[in-house]
Amino acid sequence: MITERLLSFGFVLAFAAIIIVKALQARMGRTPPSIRRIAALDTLADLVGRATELGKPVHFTAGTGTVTTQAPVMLAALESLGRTAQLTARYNTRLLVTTADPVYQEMCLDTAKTAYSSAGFADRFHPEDVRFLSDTQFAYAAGTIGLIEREKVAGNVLIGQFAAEGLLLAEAGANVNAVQIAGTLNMNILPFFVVACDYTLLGDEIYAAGPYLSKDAGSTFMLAAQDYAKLAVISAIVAGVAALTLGSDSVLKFIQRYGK
Amino acid sequence: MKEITVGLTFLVTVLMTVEGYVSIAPLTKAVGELKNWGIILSAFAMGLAAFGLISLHVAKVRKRGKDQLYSAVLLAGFAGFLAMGLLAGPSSSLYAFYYRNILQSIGNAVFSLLMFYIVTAAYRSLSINKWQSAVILAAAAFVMLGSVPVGEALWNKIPVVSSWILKVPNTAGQRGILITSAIGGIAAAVRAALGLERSR
Amino acid sequence: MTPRARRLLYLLFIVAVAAPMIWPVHIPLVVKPETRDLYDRIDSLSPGDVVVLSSDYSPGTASDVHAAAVAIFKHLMEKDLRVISVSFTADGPQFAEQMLATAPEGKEYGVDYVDLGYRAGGENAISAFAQDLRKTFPADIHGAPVDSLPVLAGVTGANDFALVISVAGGEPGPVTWMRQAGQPYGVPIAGVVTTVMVPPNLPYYQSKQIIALLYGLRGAAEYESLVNQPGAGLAGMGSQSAAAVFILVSIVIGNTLRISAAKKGGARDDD
Repeated sequence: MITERLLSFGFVLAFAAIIIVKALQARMGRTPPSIRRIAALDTLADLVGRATELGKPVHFTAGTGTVTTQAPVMLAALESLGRTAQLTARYNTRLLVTTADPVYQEMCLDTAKTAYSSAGFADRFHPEDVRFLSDTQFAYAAGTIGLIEREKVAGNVLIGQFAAEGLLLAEAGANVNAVQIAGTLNMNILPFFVVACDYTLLGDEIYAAGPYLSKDAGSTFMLAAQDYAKLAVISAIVAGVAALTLGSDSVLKFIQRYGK
Repeated sequence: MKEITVGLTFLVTVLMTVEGYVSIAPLTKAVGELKNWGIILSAFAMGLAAFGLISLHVAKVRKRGKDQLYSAVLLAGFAGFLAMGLLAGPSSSLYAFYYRNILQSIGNAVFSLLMFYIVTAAYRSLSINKWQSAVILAAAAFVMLGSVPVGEALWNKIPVVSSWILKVPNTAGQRGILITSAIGGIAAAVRAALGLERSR
Repeated sequence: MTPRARRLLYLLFIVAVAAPMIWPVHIPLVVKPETRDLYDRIDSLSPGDVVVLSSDYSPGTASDVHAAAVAIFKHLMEKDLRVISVSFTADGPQFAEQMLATAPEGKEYGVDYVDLGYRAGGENAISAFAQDLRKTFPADIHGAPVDSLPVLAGVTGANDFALVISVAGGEPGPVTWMRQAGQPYGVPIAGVVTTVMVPPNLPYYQSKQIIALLYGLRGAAEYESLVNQPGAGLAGMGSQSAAAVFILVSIVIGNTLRISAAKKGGARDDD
């Protein structure tokens, strides 16, 4: 055992145990905890409804992240895509999905197809509308901007991993008067999304999107498990700061020794 | 089939996680091999992406749809760079010439568009109608001026304030997001390893 | 904002940014500690030490970070260090080639520096590279076996690196290198990132997990002034200053117009 990593190993083990316990609670049919209202997600159905009335498509993108390097946020975005696809299937609205990762494109294709099938409208699904454009950031941005402006999308959903191209996509959506819902973990881009989009998911509200939209008990319990981990980290921070303030560096030394 | 993929995912996740904490030579060697397999898979994924792209745009050109011209340009560019890369090599002066004068120039141009959008977004959004937006505007002004030489020339305290904004409130917020996204990452990994991930 | 007003704003912006290129303005530059840390670290290395320079940026972000890569490479060559150029993004090798083309006379490819090219896989590939360089890159970008290159004599992986400098337009970046090479092997990691990527990387610099951080074109200008090799970084400072001032002036004008329109009691007009 590499002793310098004892703390992180213990944390991962404990966290995994909590996740398993929560998964078992979900299996046993326990009532899941409730999630507070998230306005951005409540508006998703209205966004699709508006697009249906206008006869224009809805665009969804998870940004330029790759599923190999940013798996958590990209998988979380897939949950939002699933829900969006269910809505567009039900309302018979065209759904355009653009991706910058070929592996992720296959996952989006699978998710959207499954969503359409589960909504009972498998025949309304067009696989050619789920597109890989380019894995280069600005080539992808240029392609997506062109698509948004040519198709005059009425709804633009930007949930995933975005860098500078996020602002370009948000402005392109604003130029065609699309209703926009955005969310990313990249704090640099969040302010741009808040400014340019109608609704924004802040930080890890993205992880809440899946359980919130699907009302799935298992996912909700998983979200609750993350709260325990956050509580543990907050406790460590408070303990460390309090100890240092009182003149003791024991907590700091312990974390430096075992928490590499 | 699903059980096999879940089982494989679980095994690989456990192996790679344990290798990070325990130093055992055979395990390190096995994980090293897995990483190389990962590189090979990524390369195949790129090939898959190229194939998907070509199929989509060839179909568009065949159907003679309204965007067929853009598809034709894409296919011509793709074929051109592929031919140059295969015949002359990616390190050749011919490839470098076209890369620098076409692709690089276009990339720079698209990146530059960002600036125009920022100008309009800033003009439109940083309106002082509440005290919070005044604070944001003041912070933005200090950070922007602190990152360019003219800020120091105007007032030598601008870089000091800019540095404080970046290193104290910004870092505090960033650390919060970093910690929660890392926790989300571990949760997603554990769920994927245990087959609890719905999207599979 | 009406399309006409938007176009006028853009035109004025182009004029503001282009003017310092035609009539250069010299504004004194103060070097940030984040940049000086890299300079001092490179200065402290011994001749023959191995430094990895990872070029992970695309044409769009090259204008922000490439100038710094060139200035740093020149410094590394001056200090007689062995440089391994590597990329984990598909566009990286093209910029690595442009950077390596600035090698001074007397420096020889394969002896003083090498270009290993690109490997797909992002963070996974970096991890594999740190663990076993030769397995991940059995040959350099020209196909020469790495075992035949004197510059790589005795180098097997991250344990043999004195420093890693990640020049990144996004991911993978210095934090990725910190996770896969810095923490597991204790290799010092320095970063050159686009200006917009500075805030998320700064916490790692403050906790000393990244030893230095250059802020895009500004970082390039600072490094050029430290190594006394003026280049695109210093040349771009006038325009960058003009752009920042222009944006702030537009915000002030926009707010002034809004406030005066509100005081007149009419509906707010963005024009």
